[in-house]
Amino acid sequence: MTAPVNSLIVMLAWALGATMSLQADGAKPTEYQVKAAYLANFGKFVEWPARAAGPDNHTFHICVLGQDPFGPALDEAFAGETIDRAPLATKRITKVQESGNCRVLFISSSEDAQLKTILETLDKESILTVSDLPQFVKRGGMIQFVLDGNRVRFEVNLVATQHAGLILSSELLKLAIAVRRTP
Amino acid sequence: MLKARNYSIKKKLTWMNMLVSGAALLVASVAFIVYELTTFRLTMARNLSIQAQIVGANSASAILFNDPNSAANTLSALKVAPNILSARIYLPSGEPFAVYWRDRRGSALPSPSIPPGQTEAHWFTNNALVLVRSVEFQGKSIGTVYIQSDLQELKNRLRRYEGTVAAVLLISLLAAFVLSSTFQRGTSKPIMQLAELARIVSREKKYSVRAPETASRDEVAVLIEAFNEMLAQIQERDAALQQAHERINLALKGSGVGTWSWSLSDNTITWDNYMFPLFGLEPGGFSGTYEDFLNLVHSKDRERVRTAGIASVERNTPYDVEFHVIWPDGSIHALSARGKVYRESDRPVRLAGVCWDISERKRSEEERQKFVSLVEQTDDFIGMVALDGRILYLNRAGCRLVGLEPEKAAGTDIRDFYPERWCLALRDEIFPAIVRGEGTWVGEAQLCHIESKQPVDVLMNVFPVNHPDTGQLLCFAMVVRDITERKRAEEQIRELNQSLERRVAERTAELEAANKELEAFTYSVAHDLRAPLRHIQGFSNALTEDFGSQLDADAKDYLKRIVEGTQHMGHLINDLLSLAHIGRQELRLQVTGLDSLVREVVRDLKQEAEHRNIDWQIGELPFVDCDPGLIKQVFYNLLSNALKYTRPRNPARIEAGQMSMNGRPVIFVRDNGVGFNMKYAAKLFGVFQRLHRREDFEGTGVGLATVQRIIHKHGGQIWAQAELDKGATFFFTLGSTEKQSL
Repeated sequence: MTAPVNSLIVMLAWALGATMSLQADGAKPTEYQVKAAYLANFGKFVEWPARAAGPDNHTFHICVLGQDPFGPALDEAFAGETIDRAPLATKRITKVQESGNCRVLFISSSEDAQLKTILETLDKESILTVSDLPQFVKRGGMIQFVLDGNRVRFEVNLVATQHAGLILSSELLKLAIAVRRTP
Repeated sequence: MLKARNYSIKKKLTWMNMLVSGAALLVASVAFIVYELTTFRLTMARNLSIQAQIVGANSASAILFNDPNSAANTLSALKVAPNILSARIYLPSGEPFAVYWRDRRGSALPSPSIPPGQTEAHWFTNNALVLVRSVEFQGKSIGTVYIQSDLQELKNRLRRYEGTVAAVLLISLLAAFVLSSTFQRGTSKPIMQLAELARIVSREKKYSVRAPETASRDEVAVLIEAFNEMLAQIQERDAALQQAHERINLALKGSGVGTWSWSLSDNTITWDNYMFPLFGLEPGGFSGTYEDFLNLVHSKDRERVRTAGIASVERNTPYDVEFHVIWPDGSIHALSARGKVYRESDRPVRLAGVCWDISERKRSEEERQKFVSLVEQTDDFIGMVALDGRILYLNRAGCRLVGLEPEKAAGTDIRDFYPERWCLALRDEIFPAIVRGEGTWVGEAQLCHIESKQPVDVLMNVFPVNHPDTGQLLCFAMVVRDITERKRAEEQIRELNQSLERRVAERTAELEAANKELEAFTYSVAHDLRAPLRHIQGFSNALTEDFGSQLDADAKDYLKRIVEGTQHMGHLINDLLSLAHIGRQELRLQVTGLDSLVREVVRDLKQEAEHRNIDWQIGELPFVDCDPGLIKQVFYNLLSNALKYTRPRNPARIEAGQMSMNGRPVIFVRDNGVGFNMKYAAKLFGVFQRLHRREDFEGTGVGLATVQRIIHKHGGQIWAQAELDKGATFFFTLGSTEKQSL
């Protein structure tokens, strides 16, 4: 590792430490704060196919479709974060067609009704779909937030990810409380 | 270790080998162990680091997705590594996230910090190795892994190493001992032989032994060779020393020089055998203490000797002192001692030197001093001049004579105080003559005062001073006497003499004239007196012959008396004439035997006194150069005198002979007659001087005067010795008898 990278890591560690400690010192992080952090982290354990980058290759777009439940938490969580050197950016969209350069798409519970359409629209698009909609995984979504007590956990639909050409790291899988491997 | 110093070289070599190999092994083993342990610790740390990395990598997602159970699961996998005591994962906030304990749960300590700029740190505590590693994910630190491992394995390993090293050391030392004892023989044996040899040499002073050569060519061989060479040199030097010692001994024996040494450490004095006689002691008759030595020194020199010794030692100067010693027999002897201080490590340890008797030298010095003072005191110029004409020595009188300062005399050129004429004479005549070996030059010369150039008349003696052995000419000696005064006196005497001679000649002439006059007068008187006397005689005889019968007895008696008177007068006149004649007569000298001359006289006299009883004793008489007629007269007068004055003696004894008086031959005539009183002896030889009455003894009083005149004319002397009534002796010498004496 080179010196600038090293110093960057240290800076990040400090920044992260600072936020974490803020959280630690202050009130427990809210559910959506945790989910925002998870959103930022999921991308790190996923391998996209080469074509997935889209026209804007320099920014890792995490999109929120529908009504944004995160508020400022999302931007806070993404600030300064990168995945494969690409800075994270939030993109709030209202239609699934706008998800052209999104890598991760959080489908808000406001879209419960159009979920089938949305998923069908996306079909084989290499976009990691995440939602806290109930039965999301069963309904063809990829990662679904679930609450295990007061802890935020997740379930994974490997069929959906494979269909979309995404490869999920075993590291991620071992943390999932449930992994759906069959359609 | 103190003991090790006394070990033999064999033991030392063995020990050394063992120590060296032991030390080398020990160092190597320690280095090996240290290296091994260091390496092992690094390996341990590396292994732990790998485990931490695995744990970190496997826990990253758990941390990111806040799943401590998953992390704890991952940690529990460390169970397979029994050395791991504990492992923990901390969140960046320092909050423990997951914990693993091997034995029992302990307290979860807060996260140790990793130095900034590093992702990992490890350290060893007493019983554990602790490693802390940051968990990185996607270039970001998301937590910290903490692993604590025990050191059991390290300790086991250390124990194994210790055992191995101990065993290796033991075996190696044993092997070293065996090998060393075997191999050191080759090295130590020659050295030990050498040491033994050195002991023999130093103990027995036997330098003829040699160490056996060894086959090897190592330093020991060189040592042996050098040692042998050294022994050879020592042997040689020892012999030389012995010779030198003998020579010195001979020299000391012959010279009477003794050697001594004063040891300062114990204040004792060591003498050689030649010292004792110098102090009049028997060999060994000296205790050797310094105080006893001082007691042998004459009390007046003692303090000086003590001071000289101390001064030499303190100032490190040569010791040179002369002193007197009193021998046991009471005699005093002068000694001279010389020496020097010997130092060791810059400290004086002894004073040693030689001593000899200088009594003889002292005496000769005193003698010399006497001569020097003699030379210095004399009024004569005495000097020594080098062959180049420079003064070597000039005495005080000499300096005074030529006006030199005594201390500036030496080196002065003698030409400075000789007039030029004499400089040339010295250069061209006097010195060359002496150099040629013509001996002493003596003569009158002139010096001059060195400043005023006033000439001084001198009598100068120049003679060579030669080397007593080689005869080589060393210098000239000059003895010069100022004869100015003498010259003046001589001049005066000469003048005096001249005037005296002149006056004598004048007086002599006057005297001779007077004498001649007197003699002529005497002669003429005598001669002229004879004519009237002859008349008286003739007419008296005629009266007696012609008128004798007419005359009575008285008249005849008167006539007889007249005749006798005239006869006596005739005798007187004859005698006077003869005396005068002798004065005028020239001596006709011829060698005459006095013997026969005296016998003739005696024969004549015997006829005159044939009725008397006379004992004639005529001894041996010499042949002399004389006028025989006159000398016969002398004997006649003297012997007839003797005959006359012995008339009262019966028997009379008359002697004539020769005797020695004060080494001179003297002729004497002795009688046992009436003699005379010696207080009239001065008158004896005067004309008409008589010591007896004519009534008793006839005579004219001219005889002895005549005798004296004849003797004087012969250059002799006459004197008499007598005592009243005990005879008289007349002695005379003749100027020529000395030459003629037989």
